[in-house]
Parts: sequence; C-alpha cells; structure tokens
Amino acid sequence: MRDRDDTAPHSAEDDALDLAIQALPRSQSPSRDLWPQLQAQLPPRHARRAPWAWAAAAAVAALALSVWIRPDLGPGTISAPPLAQLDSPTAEHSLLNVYESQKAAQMGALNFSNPSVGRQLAIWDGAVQQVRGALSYYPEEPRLLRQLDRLYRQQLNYLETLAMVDPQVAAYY
Amino acid sequence: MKAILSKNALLLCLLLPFAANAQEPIDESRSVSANERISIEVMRGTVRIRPSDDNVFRVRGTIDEDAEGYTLESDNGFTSFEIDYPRSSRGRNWSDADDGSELEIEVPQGSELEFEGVSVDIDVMGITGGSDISTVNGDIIASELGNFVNLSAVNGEIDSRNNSGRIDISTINGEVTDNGSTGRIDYSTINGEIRANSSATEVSISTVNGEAVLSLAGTEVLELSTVNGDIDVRLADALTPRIDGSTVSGDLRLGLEPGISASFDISANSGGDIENDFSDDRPSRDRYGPRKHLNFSTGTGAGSVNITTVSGDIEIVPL
Repeated sequence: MRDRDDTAPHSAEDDALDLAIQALPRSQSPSRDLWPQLQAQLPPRHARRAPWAWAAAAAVAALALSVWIRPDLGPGTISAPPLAQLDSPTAEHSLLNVYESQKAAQMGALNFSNPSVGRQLAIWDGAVQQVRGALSYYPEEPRLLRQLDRLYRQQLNYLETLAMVDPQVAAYY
Repeated sequence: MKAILSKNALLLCLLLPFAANAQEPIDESRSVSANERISIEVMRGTVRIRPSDDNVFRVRGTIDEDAEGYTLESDNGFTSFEIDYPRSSRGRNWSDADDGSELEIEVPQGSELEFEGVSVDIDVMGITGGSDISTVNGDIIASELGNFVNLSAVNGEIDSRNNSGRIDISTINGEVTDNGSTGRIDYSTINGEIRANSSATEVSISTVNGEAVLSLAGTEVLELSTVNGDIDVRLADALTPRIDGSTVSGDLRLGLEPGISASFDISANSGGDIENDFSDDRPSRDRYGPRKHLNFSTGTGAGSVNITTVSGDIEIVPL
C-alpha cells in the first residue's frame, strides 16, 4: 500500500472521485423506524438511584453551600491563584513575572524603613489580587490585563519617585 | 581700659557663632538671553519667581542660615543658581523651612525654568518658555505658566492657576488644585485629592487612593484611572468625546452632555454596579461569570465611552 501524497497533482480518477463524492447526499434517512427494535435489546433500567449518585449530589450541594457561605469565593472578591500555581504561560503570568521581578529589584535597592511605604504597596497588592480574581474568569480580557499592567506601572513609578528623593528625607516623612 | 577691652572680646566671642549662622542677604543680577535656560536649586525656605521686564536674572533676599554660600553662574544661554551647603549636611533633615532661604527671583518671561528643592515653598508665575518645578515637602503655587509645564511634589500641595500647554501635575500625598488650565493636562496622585476646573482638550487623571472631582469643559480626550479612590467628572461642551476609564474598587461618576453622540461600552467584571441614567438600556450579566456589561449608542455614536471596573460602581448621568 502506498501513502497518499497530498502534494501530487490530481489524476483524472481523482477528479472523477471528487465529483462522485460531491454528488452524494449529505445525509440519509433509514427506510423504516429502527428505534423499537433497538429499544427491545436494551437492559431494564433500575428504578432506584445508586448510593454513590446521592453521595455525589450531596458533595455538589455542599460545595455550592460553601461558596454561598464564604463571601471571599463569591463575585466581587474572587481570590486569585498564587503565582506559583500558574502552570500555563498566559498573558497574566507573563505580566506578573516581568513586573514582580522588577518590583523586587527596586525594593531591594530602596530598603525603606518607613511603614507607610509598606502600607501603600499592600494597597496595590490588594488591587492586583482583585484584578487577578476577575482574570481567573476572563483570562484574556484586554482591559483587565491593561489594569494589571497599570497597577504595576504605578508601583514602579512610586518606588522610582521614592528612590529619587533623598532616602533619609523620605524616611523622615 | 583693659577691663573694657576684655569684656568686649568676651562678648564678641559669645556672639560670633550666632553671627555665622544668621541669614545672609543676597542681591545679585546677571544679563541673560530672552530664552535663557535657568536652573535653580534651593533646599529649604520660600522662593518667589516672577517674570522680569528686561532680560535679567535677578535674585534678592536672604539665604539659609545653615548654608555656606551660593553659586551663581551664567554663560552662553545657561544660568544656574544654587544654595551651597557644607558636605556634612548631606542626608540631613530639611524640614525646618522657617530657617531656610527667602528669595525673590526674576527671570525673563520666555526663559525655560528648572527648579528643584526639598522643603521649599515655591510660588512661580508668568514664565512662558517652560517650567519644571519639583519639591519634596513644600507647596507649589504655579500660575500663568506656558509651554511644557511640569509640577511635582511628594508631600506638598500643588495649586495650578491658568496654566497652558502640556501640563503634568503629580504628587504622592499632596492635594492638587487646578483652575483655568488649557491645552493638555495630566493629573497624577497616589493619596492626594484632585480638584480641578479645566478647559484642556486632553485630560488624564490617575489616582490610587485619592478622590478626584473635576469640572471639565470642551475636553475631547479624557482618560480616568483609579484604584480605590472615587472619581467624579462633569464634562460639559463635549458632544463627541473619547473617554477611557478604569477603576478597581473606586467608584466612577461621569456627567455628560445630554446631546452626546457616542458609543458606550461599560463593563463591571466582578461585583461592581453599572447605573445608566442616560437611556433605558440596562446592563446584562454574563451567563457563566460575574461580569455585567452595558452597550449602547447615542446619536451617531461618533464619540466613545469605554469604562471598566472590577468591583467599583459606575454611574453615567446627563448634566
């Protein structure tokens, strides 16, 4: 048997075959109703649901109830997966990788003791978590990705501004 | 006689340290070009800069009691003036502005000005060649500046009046007030509030926690961005504006002309509400996700209003 070569020119036989295929109807109905015969061959159905099915239903109900009780799992405050758990190279992942390393480098260079700087960065971290929570539903949403990008740019600009002023002046205030 | 002399010598010895620290007077001037590039550095105190009637750089007043002098250089279209401090004062606390320099400076109206300070209040007016003014803890009052205007502070307040051109105003914690600006303007704060009445054709507002209240007229391009702060914008005399806005959890309220012609694309991605007082259109909710979406057009849809929020509320209302 010879492998078919798709790049080879079509012969007259091929053309004829194509024409024949095109002439075939797209669907065909059976000449009679086949269902009664098939139904007769089926095994009888159990009237009672198996115990494992009830257990599965209970598990689903418990999960739904936990989402309802835990507001942090509901819309508005969706929790984002930790960075380490992201296994696919999404746009979000790429942004986080780039910006988190830049941020860490800038913070390492600054070494601020002023607690207000930490509080300010925590506010951005919270906002990043919110945007990432929304991205967990809409991973490729460009406006959310842009928001994430902006949040990191703001942080880097903030750290850059602090680095530009005399650290002791900034620390004093 | 000997006793009198020794008494005077003792008094002199006691007073000398105070005399050395007294604020020294300064009165200097240089002839400069009409579009001179002028750089001024004053660490603390109060500085007032005004346009001169002639092409002269002039500085009068007193210099910081802790300064060891000043440097004034003017050559080939560049003039720089700097208060000098002993090397031991590097990294010092400049917070005590009352003991700093008190200076009145005149520069040609068309000059390009760069000013830098730490704890210095600066009041600058009428420079049209461009101004780059920055201070850390002092306040800035800037009026009737033109061309490229950059006003920045860390903790200080910024009061901008009737400036025009390409204007950038930024603070971290200070409050921003702007009245009568035209051209293009960017407001940026982290925690500071923004209050503005502007006729700029392009406006950009960025805040993290600060609240912003703006009354705009004739703005064609408007960008709004906040993290937690609320933004309230009233945009008059703009029938086909292009508006882009985003908020994480801050609320955004937008008042627009009733006759606006624009396509609206508003989305709340995770819990935010959308209130539309412009038309009967109501937001729809995604079947498999928390997002709410509102799309509609008014008039020919020539302008655009694109706003996105995560959990903040968005409200659009006719003026």
